[in-house]
Amino acid sequence: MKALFRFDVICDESKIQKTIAVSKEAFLSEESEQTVSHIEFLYQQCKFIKKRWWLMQGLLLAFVCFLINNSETDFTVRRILGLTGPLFVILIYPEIWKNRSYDALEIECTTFYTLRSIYAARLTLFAWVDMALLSAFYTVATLLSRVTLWEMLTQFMLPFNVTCCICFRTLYSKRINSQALSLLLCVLWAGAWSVLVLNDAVFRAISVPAWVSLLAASVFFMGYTLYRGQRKWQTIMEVKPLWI
Amino acid sequence: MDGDFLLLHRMQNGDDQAIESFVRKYYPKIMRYCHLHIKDSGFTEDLTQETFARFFRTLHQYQHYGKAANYLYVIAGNLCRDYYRKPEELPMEELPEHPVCLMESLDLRMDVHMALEHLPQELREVTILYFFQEVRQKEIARILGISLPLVKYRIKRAKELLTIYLGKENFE
Repeated sequence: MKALFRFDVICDESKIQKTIAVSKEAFLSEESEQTVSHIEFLYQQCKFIKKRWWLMQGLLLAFVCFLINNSETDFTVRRILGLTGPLFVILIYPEIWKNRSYDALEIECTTFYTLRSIYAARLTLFAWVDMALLSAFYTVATLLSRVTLWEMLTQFMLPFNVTCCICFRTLYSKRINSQALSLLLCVLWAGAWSVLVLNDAVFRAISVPAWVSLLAASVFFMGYTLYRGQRKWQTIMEVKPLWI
Repeated sequence: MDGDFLLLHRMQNGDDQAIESFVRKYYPKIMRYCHLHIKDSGFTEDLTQETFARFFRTLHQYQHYGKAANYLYVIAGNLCRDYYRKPEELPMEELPEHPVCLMESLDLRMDVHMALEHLPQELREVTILYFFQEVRQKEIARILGISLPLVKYRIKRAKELLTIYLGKENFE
């Protein structure tokens, strides 16, 4: 029966030659317009980001440095770090959610660059700045001899990662289109985390492998969420078109 | 890493020879695909050309996840979609004079084309890709953006309808 569907086409060589020429021309004309390098593109996108949120993050970390320097017990340091992680993410929330909150996705989709490129650039910028801020914070905290790398990872990075996961998962969600709801989930998580770390018995019961597993899981899930978001960015557009 | 990976890499670096090899490799497939959708053979060549032009216009953004042919099918499918909006009966003289079909006989060939014409659009799309282009079911799901069970269902349904149209007892 397969033979029934098997047929070949005879292609006109002149048409193939023309297609090759058209293809080369299409490629070259499009390439000639792609004059912006990756760094230039990041710089362009950086101009659209409000820098005051980064300033706020920096001020928060400076304040935390001051607090942990003056705190008397490890318990207090732990509590401060545990609350700082989610708060550090929440401060950049308005900027990350800006595009969805203002229904700007449809507009951005009609621009020269794809929505995927724009979001990738913005998230890269957020990651670079946060990495720089947190590196500076860790350096200062270490110099003050109040925070070890282990504490930094388990008490700060873990709640930070989970808050990022909540942020990105809701940002790239088809169903959730509310920054307030996303923020509420982060606050609930921060509350749950506080209850956990403030309960010394529970806190001590968590073994080192459990901490490592939790940290690894949070990193993995954050990576997955970002990857999924970059792959499925088109579906976000389908959620709430402006014309409905 | 498949054969297209290096070819695409060379094309993205502006290698003329690679572009030519790529077009020559996929031109017959895309032309056959367009031909099965579009009755006008002259327009088939235009659509095939436009498919490649569109592909190369977006080449700098293209990320190779699987087969480049799948992406070409998506572009060609979109281009052919406008044609579906203008249904018309297939005149006998327009049955593939060019491109030439090498089927069992002219009558059977005409029957298959007529049967294909009578299939609902969503079944026709799957039929062309599965039976004529011999694309795997999983890849059809990716090309059409539908689930694999739905592809399987449509193939099954298309087989049933084609069996009725062609008057065959068993389509396998």
